[in-house]
Amino acid sequence: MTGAASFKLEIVNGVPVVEVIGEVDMTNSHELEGLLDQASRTGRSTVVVSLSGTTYLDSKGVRLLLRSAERLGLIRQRLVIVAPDGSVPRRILEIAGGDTLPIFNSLEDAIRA
Amino acid sequence: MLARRLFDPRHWTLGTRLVVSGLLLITIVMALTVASYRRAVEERRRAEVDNALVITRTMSATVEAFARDVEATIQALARVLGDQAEPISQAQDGPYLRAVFQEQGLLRTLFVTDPSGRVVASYSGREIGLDLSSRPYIRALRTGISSVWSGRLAGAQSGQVTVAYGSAVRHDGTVRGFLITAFYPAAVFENLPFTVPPDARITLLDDRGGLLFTNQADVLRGRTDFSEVADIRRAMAGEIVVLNIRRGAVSGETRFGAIVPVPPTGWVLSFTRPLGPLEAQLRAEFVRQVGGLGLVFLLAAIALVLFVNRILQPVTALSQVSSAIARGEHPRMPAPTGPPEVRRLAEGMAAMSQAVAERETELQRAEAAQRFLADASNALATSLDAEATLRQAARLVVPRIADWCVVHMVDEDETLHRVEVAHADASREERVKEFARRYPPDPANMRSPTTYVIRTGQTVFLREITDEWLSAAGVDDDAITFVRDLGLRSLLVVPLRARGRMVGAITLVTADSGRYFETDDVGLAEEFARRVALAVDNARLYDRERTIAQTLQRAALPRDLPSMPGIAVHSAYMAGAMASEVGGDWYDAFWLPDGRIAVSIGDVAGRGLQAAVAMGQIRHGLRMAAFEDSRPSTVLSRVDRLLGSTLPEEMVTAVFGVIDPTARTFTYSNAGHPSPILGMANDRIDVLEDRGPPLGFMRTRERGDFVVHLDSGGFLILYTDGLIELHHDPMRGQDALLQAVRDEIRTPSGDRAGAVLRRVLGDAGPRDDIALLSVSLAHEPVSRFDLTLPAIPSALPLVRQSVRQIGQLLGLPDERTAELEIALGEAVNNVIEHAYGVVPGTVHVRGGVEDGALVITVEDTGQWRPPSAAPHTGRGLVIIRALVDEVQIDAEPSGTRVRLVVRLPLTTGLEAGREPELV
Repeated sequence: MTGAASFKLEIVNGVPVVEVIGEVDMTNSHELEGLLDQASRTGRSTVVVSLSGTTYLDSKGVRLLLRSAERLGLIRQRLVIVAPDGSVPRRILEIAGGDTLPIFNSLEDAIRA
Repeated sequence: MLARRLFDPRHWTLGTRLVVSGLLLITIVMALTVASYRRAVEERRRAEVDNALVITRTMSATVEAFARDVEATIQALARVLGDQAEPISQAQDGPYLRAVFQEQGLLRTLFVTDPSGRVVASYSGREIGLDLSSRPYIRALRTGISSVWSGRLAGAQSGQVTVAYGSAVRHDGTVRGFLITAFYPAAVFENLPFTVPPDARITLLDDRGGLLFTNQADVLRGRTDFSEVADIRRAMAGEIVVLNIRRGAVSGETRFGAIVPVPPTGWVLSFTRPLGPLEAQLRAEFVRQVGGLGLVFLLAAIALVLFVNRILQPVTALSQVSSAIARGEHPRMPAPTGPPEVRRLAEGMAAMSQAVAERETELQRAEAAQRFLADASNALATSLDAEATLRQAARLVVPRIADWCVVHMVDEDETLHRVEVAHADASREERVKEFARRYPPDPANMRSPTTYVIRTGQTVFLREITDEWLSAAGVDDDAITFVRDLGLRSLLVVPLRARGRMVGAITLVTADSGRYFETDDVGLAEEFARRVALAVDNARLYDRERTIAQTLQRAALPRDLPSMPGIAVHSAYMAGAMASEVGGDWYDAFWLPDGRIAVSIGDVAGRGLQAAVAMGQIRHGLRMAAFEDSRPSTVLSRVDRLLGSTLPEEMVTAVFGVIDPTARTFTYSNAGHPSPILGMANDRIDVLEDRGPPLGFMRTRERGDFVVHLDSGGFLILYTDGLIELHHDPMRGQDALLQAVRDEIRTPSGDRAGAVLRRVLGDAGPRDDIALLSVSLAHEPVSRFDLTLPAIPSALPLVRQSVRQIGQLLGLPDERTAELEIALGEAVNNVIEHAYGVVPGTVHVRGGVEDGALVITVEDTGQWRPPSAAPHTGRGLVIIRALVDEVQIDAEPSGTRVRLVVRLPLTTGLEAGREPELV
């Protein structure tokens, strides 16, 4: 077992959603990266990363999200984050400059956007 | 049944068969003899009959000759009387007649009558003038015939039967008178030229069947006329009648003989003999012969029996001897007597008996040798110490093979040293030791037997130790005196060689027993030496293997056990006192990447190198599997598959479990191993009995996972079966263990594993190896931690676990704790990423409450590197600063220290200075 997180890729209303449950750190960030690539290959304009169930997100994770958003941008895809207001991931994103990414409170908002 | 056996020749003894065959043969010969006698009697009888005929004819010829002589004499005399001129007168012719009469001898009378029948002259001069004209023969002559035979006449004076013969005397054709003579027929038979058997009956009859003569007048009882008898009539007709065993016509008895005619006279001569005497004689002869034969038969039978006995006696004796030999006895061989065949048989048996005895002696020798070797092998097998084995060997050969014995051993460094001296007589042992000490084998002198044997690997055998030999071997006079004093006789030095390497030599000597070594002893000693060498080699090999196995086992057991705030892992290992080999017991505890602790304990059945190797492989397999997927059942299942494909079918049992420090759970799966025991602070004991089959036996089905909660102050004991098999009774062992756990709950120790082992063992030493692992939870949550971890990514979860625990303890809100976790994670991340180059270092993390604040320091011994200019980097410090109340970074050349401070809310009940008990 590597890390204590599970990653899941779902298509919700035609939008690929990567759900991160548990902890994202050095030991498992490559898994998240791989899943984002997979989501990107669906060819949709938007890829959602849901951090609603994420308990740990550090600077590595933030950096990964930012880098992924840039890569998706090159092929005109948008990375959208779901992180409820006041949650630890939301705070970390805000602290570490992740707020340049579009962040929504809920999955519904993100898909709608 | 008995009778049937008795008459069935197949059941007869050889003696009976021989006797019966002999008797049968004799009987046949007898029968043939009897039959031939019958024929002989027949022939004899016929011969007698023939003989009788011959006698009769001879007798008849005699009578005939006599009659012809009478006729010739009378006719010549009649011619003389007729030719003389003078008439016949007594005076003139009387003397002449007398002369003729006397010359004849057998005549009864001789006279001349005139033609009227009156006597005119006689030989005696008497009866002159007697008128005989009435006599038939005169009457016959007066009819004109020239001569006449009278037939039976009654004697004139004697009354005796007389026969007369008359002839006419003619002178010039006229009858001048008649010349008459007479004789007694009996007289004819008085002077027969042969003897007549006394029982023979001779009968002469005249031409009318009148009796002229018989030698057995009494039988005829006065009968004189036999003209009516048929045989006689036939004979009178001129036939020769043979009487062949016929009832006699006269006497009525059975007779044989013949009746023949006597020609000129017309008479008949009968000669018969009674059959009776002949038969009697023949019978007597037969009886005598048969009797003789019977006697011969009897003698032959007796001789046969004696002969058979004589043959069979030695044969019977031999058969008894052979039975005795077959029974394994050693009977005395009878002297070879009897016929050559029996003697040869006896000699053969004697040779066989001797061969059997020799073979038996040989076998006994071989058996004794085998027994000795077997005993020796057993005795040698008792020790696995090379030197002890050699000492044992010396004690084994004395006194069974030699009177004394010296054993030398070649050490690993090729030097020779004396291991043992043994003497059959303990009081002499010192003397031999002194000899061995004073005259050790000279390694440079090839003439020293021990040196020679060690160098060449060849046996030295000296049946007799002579002074010449001793001198030649370079033994000085002093030593020779010593040797003589010890009474050395035979010397035998055999090499101890195993797998081509010399391990020593055994010197065997006979002395006081007066015995000499023989060639057989050489083979036995060499075989013994071979086994000793093998045992020594095994011991050395074993020693080597044990060292390797011990090294392997020590290497396989973890050197450091994980520990963390609130959780302590301890181990204990004790090697079995009885078992000189290492066992396959193991324990293990290690961090999982997610900060949980994995523990395993197990036991590979069997001992020695193989078990140690297998144990190492399994322990390693468990670790590998746990890093893939730490679910205990999955981990064990993977090892199940591994065992199924690669390892021998040794029984392997194990428990694998994961301790989650946060959730305070123990998740485990048991593969046939003794149940882990959970001791809890409230005096409760939980025996974790859920278990599956031993490793390698669960390849198709899923193993189960079981979860127990770990309370504060509780502890978990994992152990191998050596702990509960101390007293041969697992139930008692289990009870002792439970009692120890109970005691341990009441009176806790720092090192639970060691304490439980001590409590269970008491003063006893374990027979088998014992491995123990304890996981203890602190009685109260900890407020401090101190971790030194390798600076690698997997250190992160452990650090975070510790923070989480302390956060919980201090009653921080979850989010606050999470933020602290992230801040600390960033600090440690920085160390992992930047402090060290290619060579990883360590990161030291400490946490605790200081002055109402939670202070965590992260230290490394590497270099502080400022955040790089790469995009999206350098956020770590930003995050740290944003999440904690205070950050302090001290960068020194020797290392960097980052200090994080989080002020605690006042509601936290923990006061500084009141340190909770540390685990």
